[in-house]
Amino acid sequence: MLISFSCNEDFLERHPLDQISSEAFWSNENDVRMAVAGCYARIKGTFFDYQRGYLEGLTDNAFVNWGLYGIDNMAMGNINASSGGVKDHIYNSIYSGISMCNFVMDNIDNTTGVDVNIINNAKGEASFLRALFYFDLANCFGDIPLYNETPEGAEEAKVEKSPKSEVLEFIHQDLDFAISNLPEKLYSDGHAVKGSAMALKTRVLLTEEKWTEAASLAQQIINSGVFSLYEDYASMFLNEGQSNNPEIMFACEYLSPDSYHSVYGMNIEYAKHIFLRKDFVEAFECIDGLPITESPLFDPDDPFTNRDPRHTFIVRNPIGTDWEGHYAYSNMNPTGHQNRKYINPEIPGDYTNAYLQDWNFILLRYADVLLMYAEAKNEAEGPDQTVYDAINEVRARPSVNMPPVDQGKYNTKELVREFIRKERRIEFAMEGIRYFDLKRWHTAHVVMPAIKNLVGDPYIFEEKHYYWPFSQTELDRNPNLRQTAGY
Amino acid sequence: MCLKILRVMKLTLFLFFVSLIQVFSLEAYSQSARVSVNRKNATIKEILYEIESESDYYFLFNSQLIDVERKVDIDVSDEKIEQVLDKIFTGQDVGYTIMDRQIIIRPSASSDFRSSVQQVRTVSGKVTDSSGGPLPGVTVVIKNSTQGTITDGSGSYSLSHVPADATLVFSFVGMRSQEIPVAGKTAINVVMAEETIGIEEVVAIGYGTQKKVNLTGSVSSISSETLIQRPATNPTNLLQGRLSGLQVTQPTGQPGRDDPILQIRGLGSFGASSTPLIIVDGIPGSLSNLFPNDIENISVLKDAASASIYGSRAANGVILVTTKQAKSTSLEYHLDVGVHNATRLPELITNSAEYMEMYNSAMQRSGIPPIYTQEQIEVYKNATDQEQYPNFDWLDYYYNPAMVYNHNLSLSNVSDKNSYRFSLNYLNQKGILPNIKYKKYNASLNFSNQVHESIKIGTNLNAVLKDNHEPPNWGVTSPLAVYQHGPTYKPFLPDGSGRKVSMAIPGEGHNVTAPVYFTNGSREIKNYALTGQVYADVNLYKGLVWKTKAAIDYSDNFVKDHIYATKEHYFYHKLPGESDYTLDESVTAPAGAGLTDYYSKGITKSIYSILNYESLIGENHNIDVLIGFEEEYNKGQYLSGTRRVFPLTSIKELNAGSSDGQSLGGSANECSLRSFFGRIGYRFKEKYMIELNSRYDGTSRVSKEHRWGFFPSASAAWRVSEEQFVKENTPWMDNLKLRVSYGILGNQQIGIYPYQDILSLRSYPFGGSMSQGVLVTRLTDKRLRWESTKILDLGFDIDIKGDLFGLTFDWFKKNTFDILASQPVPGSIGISGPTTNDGELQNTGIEIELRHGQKLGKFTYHTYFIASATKNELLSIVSETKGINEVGLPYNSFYLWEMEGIFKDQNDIDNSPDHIYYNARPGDIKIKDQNDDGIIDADDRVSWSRYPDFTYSFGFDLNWNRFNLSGFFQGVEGQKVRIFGWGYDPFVQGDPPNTRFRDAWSPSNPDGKEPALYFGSGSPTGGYSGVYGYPSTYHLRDASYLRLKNLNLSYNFPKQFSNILKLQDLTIYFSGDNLFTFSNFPGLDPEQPGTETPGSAYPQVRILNLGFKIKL
Repeated sequence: MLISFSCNEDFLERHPLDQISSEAFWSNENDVRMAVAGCYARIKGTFFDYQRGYLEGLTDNAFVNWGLYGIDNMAMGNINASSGGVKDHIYNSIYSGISMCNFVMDNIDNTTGVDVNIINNAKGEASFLRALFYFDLANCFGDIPLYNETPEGAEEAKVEKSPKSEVLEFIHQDLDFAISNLPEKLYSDGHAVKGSAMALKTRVLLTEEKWTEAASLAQQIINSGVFSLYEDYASMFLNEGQSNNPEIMFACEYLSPDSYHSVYGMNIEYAKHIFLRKDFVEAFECIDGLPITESPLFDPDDPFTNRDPRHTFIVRNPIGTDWEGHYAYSNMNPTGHQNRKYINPEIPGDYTNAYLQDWNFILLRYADVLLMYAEAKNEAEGPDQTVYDAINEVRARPSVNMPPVDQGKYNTKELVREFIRKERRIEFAMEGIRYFDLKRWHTAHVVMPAIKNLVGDPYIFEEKHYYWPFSQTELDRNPNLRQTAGY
Repeated sequence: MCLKILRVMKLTLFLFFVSLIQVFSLEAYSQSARVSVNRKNATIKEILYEIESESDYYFLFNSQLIDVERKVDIDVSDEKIEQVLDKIFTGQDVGYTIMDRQIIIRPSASSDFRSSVQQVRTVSGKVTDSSGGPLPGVTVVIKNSTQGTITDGSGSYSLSHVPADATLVFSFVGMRSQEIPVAGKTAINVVMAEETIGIEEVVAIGYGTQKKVNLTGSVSSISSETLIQRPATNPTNLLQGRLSGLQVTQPTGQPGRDDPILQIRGLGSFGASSTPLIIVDGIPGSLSNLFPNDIENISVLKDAASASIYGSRAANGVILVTTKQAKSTSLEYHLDVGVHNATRLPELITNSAEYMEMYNSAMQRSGIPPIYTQEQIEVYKNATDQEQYPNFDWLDYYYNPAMVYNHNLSLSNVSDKNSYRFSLNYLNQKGILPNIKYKKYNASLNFSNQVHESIKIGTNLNAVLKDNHEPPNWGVTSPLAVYQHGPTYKPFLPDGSGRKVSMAIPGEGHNVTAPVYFTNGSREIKNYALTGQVYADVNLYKGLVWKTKAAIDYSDNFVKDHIYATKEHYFYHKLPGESDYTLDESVTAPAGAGLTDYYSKGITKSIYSILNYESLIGENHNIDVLIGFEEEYNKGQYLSGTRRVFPLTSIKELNAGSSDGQSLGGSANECSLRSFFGRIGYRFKEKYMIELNSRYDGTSRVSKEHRWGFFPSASAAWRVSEEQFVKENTPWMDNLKLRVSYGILGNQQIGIYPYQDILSLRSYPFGGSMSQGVLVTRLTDKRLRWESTKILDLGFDIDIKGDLFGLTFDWFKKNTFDILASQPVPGSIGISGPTTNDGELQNTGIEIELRHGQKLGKFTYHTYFIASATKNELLSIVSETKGINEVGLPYNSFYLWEMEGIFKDQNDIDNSPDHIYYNARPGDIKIKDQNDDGIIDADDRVSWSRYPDFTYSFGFDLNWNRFNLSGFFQGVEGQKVRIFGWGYDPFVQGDPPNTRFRDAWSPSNPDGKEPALYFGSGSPTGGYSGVYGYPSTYHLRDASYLRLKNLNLSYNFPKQFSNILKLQDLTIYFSGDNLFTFSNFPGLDPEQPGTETPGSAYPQVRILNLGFKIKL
C-alpha cells in the first residue's frame, strides 16, 4: 500500500487543474490576448454567428421551418413576455458578451509591463465588440439596461433601462475609441480593424437618420481606399472567396475542425431550415434591369433564366436540376423555394462532414458601405451622381453585372429610396440585415402583413412589434426594469 | 495529530508484513499453547475467564448444567490445557472437547442427575446448520428442567434419562431456538436455522457493529439470504422493497444501465446530490461493483444518530455494505439462467391503412395537405401481398426475449490462524433490443490472519470488469428509434437486397431509422474497478481495540463510441417511373459520426484509524467509547480523442482514421476530506441507553474560513420490556423499546470548486489558428459552506414471542438547510448568479415494519410488511416559482392546467370559459376554470406533487419440509408521472399512435375519450398542433402500482441424494421477477426513468430464472 498523506493544511487546499483562477490573471501580455479572444468568442451563440441568417424568417424574405427559435411564431405576432424564442436568446447571450467586454475594459489597465499600444488596441477591439453587442440590443429592445462597467454584484445589476438614445450615445463613444485605436488596414485575421468600427458607426448613424454624418463617414471609408468589392459574389460566402477578401470588413470566424458551424453543418441548416418566400424570389430583376412584371426577358415557364445572377446564387433551382444528390429536401418544402446562399454543394449533405464546414459568416462588408452611402446621401440631399455611382458599383460587380440604375426613371429622392431598398433586399439576402432594415425604415408593419403564412393567414406586425418585450423572468429578477411599451 | 497518523501508517505496514510471515507458519493452537494459572479459592468461572484472557482459548458451557460457581485452588504453569481442565474438574461429572481454540464443557455422558419413576431413556442425535455442517456447542436441555448437555465437535449429543413425554429445547447463539417433543423417540436430529429477524441480530453501524436490541438510532438491515432470493443481477436493485425508508427506483431494465436512484427518507436536497453515501467494508465504494452472492449484510443508517459519525457525507443517509468473510471451509457454486422480457410495451397501431387515415387526419388538423392519397390507403387496405404492403409491428420485430447467465463460485477456508474467502463471478446478459450486451466479471478475496493473539490483520480485495456494449449515441430514451416507424414498411427493402428503408413513400415524417442504431456502430464501455483494503485490528487491552484500515479505490473507464454513416436509405415503394428504389436523400448520416475514444480514471485513497473501548463496569454500567480519524483524497482525470473519417466501417482504432477533423480533450480534478469523529455509548442495566455521535470534517470544497464543520447527534432508548413490572405482567413481550434521536448531518456533494473564481477557457480562430481565450461565466460566493440536515426521529420496536410478532415504527422530521442554490440574477448581468446557501427543505414521514412468523409442525413461515410515507415541503428558496418551487409545496411540483374533458363541438367551446391561451377547436382539451372567472389563464394552473404518497412492500417466506416458497410485492401509491412523446403521443416523428387513439375525438366521434389526433412533437411546419404545446394534466398520469416483484420456489435435496453426488448440499430453485403488475398507468411501465419522461424508455424486464446452488 502506498498512500502518501500530507500533514499540513495544504491537504485540504485544492484548486482547479484545468482552469484559470481569476486572481492570478491580468499579469502579462498573454493574459490581455486571452481576455480579448474571450470577447470574440462571445460573438458565437449570440446570433452574430451563422445563425444570424435565421432572422430572415422575421421578414418577407424567408420562412424558417420547424419552429426554430420560435421565429415563425414571432412573425405571426405571437410575441409576449413569456413567448421565449430568439428574443430571449439574443437578450441573454448578448449580455454575456457585454459582460466579457466590460471585464476587459474594467481590468485591462491593471496589467503592468505591457506596451501601451497593445493595451489600447485590445481596448479598441473590446470597445468595438461592446458597441456591436449593444447596437443589436438597442435595435431589438429599444430602451435597455446599460452597463458601462461590470456591476458590483447581483443587486447592483438591477438597474432601470436607459433610453435608446443614451445607449446609442454610449455606442458612439465606444466606436470613436475603436476608430482611433484600431489599425487602418484590411480585415484579414478575425481581429476588428479601423474600417470595421467605421462601417458599424455608419450603420448606427443611418439608424439614427443622421444622414449627413452617415454619408460623410461612409465617404471617408470609400476615400480611404482600403476596401473594395470582391469580384465573385457567390464564393464570398464560402471558404474559397474569403481569405484576404477586400470586401469583408468584419465576420464571425470559423476554423475546422476546432470551430465549425454546428454538428449539423451550415449546409443542412440553411437548406432545411430556411425556405425562400415566393415574394422574395420574384423580387429579382431580369438581366435587363427590369422587374419580372415588366421585362420581356422573363419566361414564367423558365423563371431561372435571364435573371439577376444573384438569383442563381441565392435561390436554388428546382429539385433535381442542380447539385444532384445534395440536400434534396423534397419532403415538406413549405414554400417551394430552397435557399442556396452560404451553402457549399461540394461538401456532402450529411452530418459526417459537418466539421468541415467552417466558412465565416460576414457581419460587415464594403457593398453595405456603398449602399449606406447612397442611402444617406440620397436622404440628405436627394440623388446626385455619387448616389447613382455607389449603387451602380455594387450592381456592376463582375459576377453580377447588372445594368446601371435607369437615372431617367429613378430621378427623385423617393424613387431612388425605393430602388436602394430593393437593391439592399437582394444584395444582403440571408445575411440577417433585412429585419433591421425594415425596422429602420419603419416599413415592417406594412411589408409583413402583406405576406401570408403557410395556411394562408397574413403575418402580423403591429407598431409595438418594432421593439420586443423583456421576458417575464427578467422582469421578475430585475424589479427596476419596466416592460417595453405596448406589452 | 499528524505524527500519530504517520505512526499508524508505519504500524499498519509493519503488521501487514508480519502477517505475510505468519501465513506460512500454520500450526494447531492447542498443540503448542501452554497455560499458567495460579488462583486460590477462586470460582471455576473466574479461572476459566482468566484462561480466556491469558490465551486464545474460549469456553462454551451452560451454567445451568455445569457448576461453575464452585470454588477451587489451582496452581499450574506452562501446562497443556487438557491437564489444567482435568485439575479443575477433578471428581466432577464433567467432560470437555477441545476444538482448536474452542473448548466445550458439558456434563459427561455418564452423569446421572436424578432418577425418575417415569419411563426414561437416552436420546441422542446430531445438530447441523442449514447447509449440513455440524454445529458444536449447541445447548440441549429438557424443557422445564436443569437437565441437559452441549453438542460436541461433530455436533452430536447424547442425553440420558429423558422422560418419554419430554420436550427438548435446542438453542445456540445466532440460531433460532427449536423445541422438539421426544414422543418416545431415541434419535432426534436437528437442523438449526439462522436467526435472521430476532432481536439478538447484530447489525453493522458506523465503524462497528451493534446488537439490534441495543440500537438507539434508526437502522434497517437486510441479510444476504433475503437479498439473493431475487435473481436480479445488480445488487443495488435487490434493495427495492426490502428496507423501510429506502426508495429504490430502477430507471430502466437495460443491462449495465440499471443502477437505481436511491433515496432515503425523501428528496434531501435540490442544490447538491441527494444520493446516500455507500460504504463498503468501511470505505466509500460502489454497490454495483459487487455481486449479490458476496454480500453478507446491508444496513441503512437513516437517522442523524446513526449517520452522524459519517458527518459531512451523511445527510442523505448511509448504506453500509459488509462483504462475506469465510465462516467454514466449503466450496460453493451457484448458477442462474434467466430469460428477460419487457414487462409491457405500448400497444401501437400496426394496421397500415388505419395508420395512414389517422396520419392524414392529424395533418389536416394542423393545416397541412394530407400526404396519403385515397388510392394508397386502398392499396394497403386490400393488399394480399404482406411483403409489399405490410402491417408491420416494429416493436414486435425488435423486442425479443434475452438470456442471462450468472455464475458464482466461492471458496471459503478457515484454518487455525487464517481464513479466507475467494470468489469468482461472471454475468452475461443480453438486451431485449439488438446490439445490447452486458458482461460483468468479478474476483474478490477477503483474507484475514491472526498474527498474534491480540493482532489480526487482513485484506479485502475486489476486482471487477464491467463490459457494456450498446448502440452508438445511446441513452435512456433511445429506444424511440424503434417507436417512430410507421407500420407501412419494413426495415429492409422487399427485394431482399438488405438495403435499409427510411420510409414507405416520400413525405412521411420519420427520422433516423432503427436499423442505423442497431447496425451502424456501437458504444463499448469497459469499466475496470479495483478496490484494495488492508486492515489491522489490535487488542491493546481488555476491551480496548485499535483498528486501522487503508484503502485504494481505482477505477478505469474506456469508452469507444463508433458510429458510421450509411446513405443507403430507400423509400419502400418504387417511385412512379423509376426502375429501382429511390434513395431517400432526406436521411442524413447520424450526427457525430466517427470514432471517439474516451479514457478516464479515478483514484480514491483513504485511511481511517479508530480506538474503541467497551467495558462493563460493575454489574450494570456498560460503556462504549470510540474515537477516530479519517482522511480521503480523490482525483479524477480523463483524456479523449476523436477522428471523423475512416477508410472502413469495420476499423475501430483511432490510428486508422484520417487526421482531418480530429479533436482532443482532457482534464482532471481533485478534492480531499479530513475528519475526526467519536462515539460515546452508555447502557444502564441494558434498560436505559444513550449514545452521542459526532464528526468534525474539513473539506477542500469550501473556502478556508468555512472549511470545518461539526456534526453532532444524540440518541436515547428505553427498553421498557426490561422493567420488572413489564416482565412480570407481560412475559410474552420479548422486547419493547422506545427510541429518540436528534442530530445534524452535512452534505459536501456541492461541486468540487464551488467557491472559487474561475475563468473558463474558450478559443476563437484568428488568422488560421485557434487562439485560447478566457471567459467570465459566474459570480461566486466565498462564504459558501456545505448543506446541513437536522433530523429528529422518534420510534419504537416491539417483539412478541420470538418471531410471532414484530413491529418497528419511526416518525421523523428531516430539515435540510443551507441548501445550495444558484441565485437568480438578471440576464443583463451576463454571467450566471452565485451559488449561495439559501434553500430549506423539509421531509416528514413515518416508517412501519411489521413481522410475523410461526412454526406449525413441518411448516414454518415468515411474513413482513413495510411502508414508508414522506411528505416533502419547500420551506425557503431564493427564487420562488409559482406552483413549481413555491414555499409550502413539495419541491419541483408539476404546475399544469387541469384537463376537464374534451370539447365536443363549437357549442361546447362557446359555453365554456374562454381559453385565451389558444384558439380551442372541437377535439381539444377543455381546461378546468379553477377560479371560476370565466377565463382560462395562467391562474388556473394547479400544482401536483412529484412524490408518491407512500411506498410499501410485503412478502412471505414459507418452509415445508425441504421446500421453500418466498415472494414479495412492492408498490408505490400516488406517484404522478408526466409522460409524453414516443409511445404516448401520436406522430412524434411519425410514430404510430397508441391504440387508445382509436377512440380519438373526430367530428363523427364527438364523444371520443382521447383528443383529436395531433402531432406529438408539434406541427411539422410550426402550425396548429392541437394539445401539444400547453401543459395540461392530459400528460400527467397516475403511475401508482403494485407488482409481484419476486416469487421464488426452491427445493433442497435430502442428504442421501446429495451425498450420492458427493455434495454437502444441493438446492434448485425457480424464480420470477416482476411477474404481475397492477396499475392504471397508460404508458410503458409505471416504473419510469423519471417523473417526466418519454414513453419510449428501455422497458423494465420480467425475468424467469432457473438456478441451482451446490456446496462441496
